[in-house]
Amino acid sequence: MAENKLFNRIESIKIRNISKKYGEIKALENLNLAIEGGELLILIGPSGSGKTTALKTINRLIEPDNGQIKINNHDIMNFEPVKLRRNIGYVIQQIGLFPHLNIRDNISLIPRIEKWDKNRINDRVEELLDLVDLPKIFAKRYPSELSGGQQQRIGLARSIVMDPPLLLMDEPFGALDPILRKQLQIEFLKIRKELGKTIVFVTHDIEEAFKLGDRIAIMDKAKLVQVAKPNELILNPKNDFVSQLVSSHKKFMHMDNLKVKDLMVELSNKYIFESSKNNREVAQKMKKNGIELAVTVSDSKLEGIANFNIICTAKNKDLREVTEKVHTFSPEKCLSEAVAELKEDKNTLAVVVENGRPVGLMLTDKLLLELV
Amino acid sequence: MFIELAELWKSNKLTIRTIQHLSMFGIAMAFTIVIGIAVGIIIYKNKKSSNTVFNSLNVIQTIPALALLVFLLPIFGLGALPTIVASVLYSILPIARNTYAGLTSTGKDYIETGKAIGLSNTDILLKIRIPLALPMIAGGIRIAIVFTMGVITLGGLIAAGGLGAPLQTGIHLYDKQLILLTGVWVGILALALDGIGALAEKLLSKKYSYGNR
Ligand SMILES: Nc1ncnc2c1ncn2[C@@H]1O[C@H](COP(=O)(O)OP(=O)(O)OP(=O)(O)O)[C@@H](O)[C@H]1O
Ligand SMILES: [Mg+2]
Repeated sequence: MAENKLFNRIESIKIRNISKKYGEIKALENLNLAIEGGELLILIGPSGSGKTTALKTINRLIEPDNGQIKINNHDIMNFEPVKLRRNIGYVIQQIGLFPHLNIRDNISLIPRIEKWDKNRINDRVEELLDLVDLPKIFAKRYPSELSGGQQQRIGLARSIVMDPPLLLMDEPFGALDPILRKQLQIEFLKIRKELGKTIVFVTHDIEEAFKLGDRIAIMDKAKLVQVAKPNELILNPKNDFVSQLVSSHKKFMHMDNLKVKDLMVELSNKYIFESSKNNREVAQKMKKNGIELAVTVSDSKLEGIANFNIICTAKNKDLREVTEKVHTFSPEKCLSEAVAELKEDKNTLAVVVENGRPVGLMLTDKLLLELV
Repeated sequence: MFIELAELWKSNKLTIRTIQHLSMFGIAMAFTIVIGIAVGIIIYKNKKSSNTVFNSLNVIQTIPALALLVFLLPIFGLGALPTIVASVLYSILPIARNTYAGLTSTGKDYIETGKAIGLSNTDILLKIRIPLALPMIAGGIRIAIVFTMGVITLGGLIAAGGLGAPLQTGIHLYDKQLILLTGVWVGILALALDGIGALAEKLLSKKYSYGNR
């Protein structure tokens, strides 16, 4: 067994300058892409943009005309294709279960060829059925007796039977109706956490891409246009094509994908005051800088906030005494959750805090302007 | 009438003739199936040879069965052997052709999936193409059953025994009853065998059907 494992985990996949032509049609043009171990990378783009071609070069179903692909720094051309493919799970859109084999035999096709003993096969099949949330009795059924969604789950089970560290998925939920698709996406996210594999996932559903992807690679006309984290795509789309695709003008659609830090106002030093300071001094400075709000700290750690008017009415006291508690967020917090919390507490303002230090402000009215 | 027929059956040893007939049929079919499928696979593996092989088999097929028996006389003489050889030669084509067609028409998706999950070309042939071609191969075998039945019956002319013999006798003696009895009996046997073939084909198509839902 051990000698059949080409890699125990994926450190990196480096796709360097690969191109593929079919006659005059360019299917891929100078694709450069680095995939990190453990991430779920989405390939998205219009029909014919080269997503499937790119995916298939990774397990050598398609050999590029030029360029090089390295997995963990090994050129994949040095691996025997059959062996390479047994180390890389593959799920296709057109379900692809073999109609003449029952579910057990479909799942265990490669293990049987690799002469696993019967108990091991049965155990593995049951384990996988469990993982994809299907009852054990399904092992004896034939694909034609299963619904589309069930078949898709078996396809997933089959792809990971050899426990490959890398999974290639070509629109695995593309053929399913929208409701089922949503459900399988949720289940898939759960399974993914359990498995901790590196996954390259093709889709042309942008919602699916945002929901599942750690990073999203956008392709158009055989070329890679931009690859970035979902929030970066929304905030800094490289061109109109990307902007259109991710609807970056409608940021409110992306509350789930944006983080607090993406839309916070950075806090400059002039807002920050030591709480031991005297209010008279503070008020003077605030007036000079034309600011209404002081963020108070002690030893650089956030204490709270104080309003200019209140500071002015207590000029003989220290800033500490007029400081009020304030809602805080971490910069990595999901934007939609943050907004929900603010609404709950009927707050319009929160301070963004990193390692105890104030780094930014969240202002709901400002936020609204950014989002719409 | 019934007694008369039973008498006729007995005096012409139709039970033994039937046994002879079916054993020749069985032997011939066994060879035909093995050779037919093998030829189909070989041609599939060497696609360049497919035209030559199919043309030769077609030529054999265009020779009337009777003429084929006569051609084989100088080599195999009279009796069961040349009859079996002739029927095998005659019936390879439908099986080989259907095997070849079945192997080449396997759905592209299945082949691609097989490759993607790490099957070698041999695995794809053995575990995917051949099983998925079985319904078509069974269709070829059904045609071969009909051909073989015909040639074996003709074997009566060259002293092969079987049910061709009493037919011969009937024709010689102008015994309409014997001709009718044997003829109808051969017909029933042929239909029954074809029926078994049809059943097998149906079961296979059901089990190995492409339909996914
Ligand atoms: N075997 C082939 N022969 C000829 N042209 C091909 C072949 N495979 C792909 N192409 C062409 O290469 C281009 C890229 O195809 P590819 O399948 O990678 O697109 P895709 O992004 O996966 O599209 P879709 O979303 O429709 O699946 C297309 O123009 C396609 O027509
Ligand atoms: Mg595609």
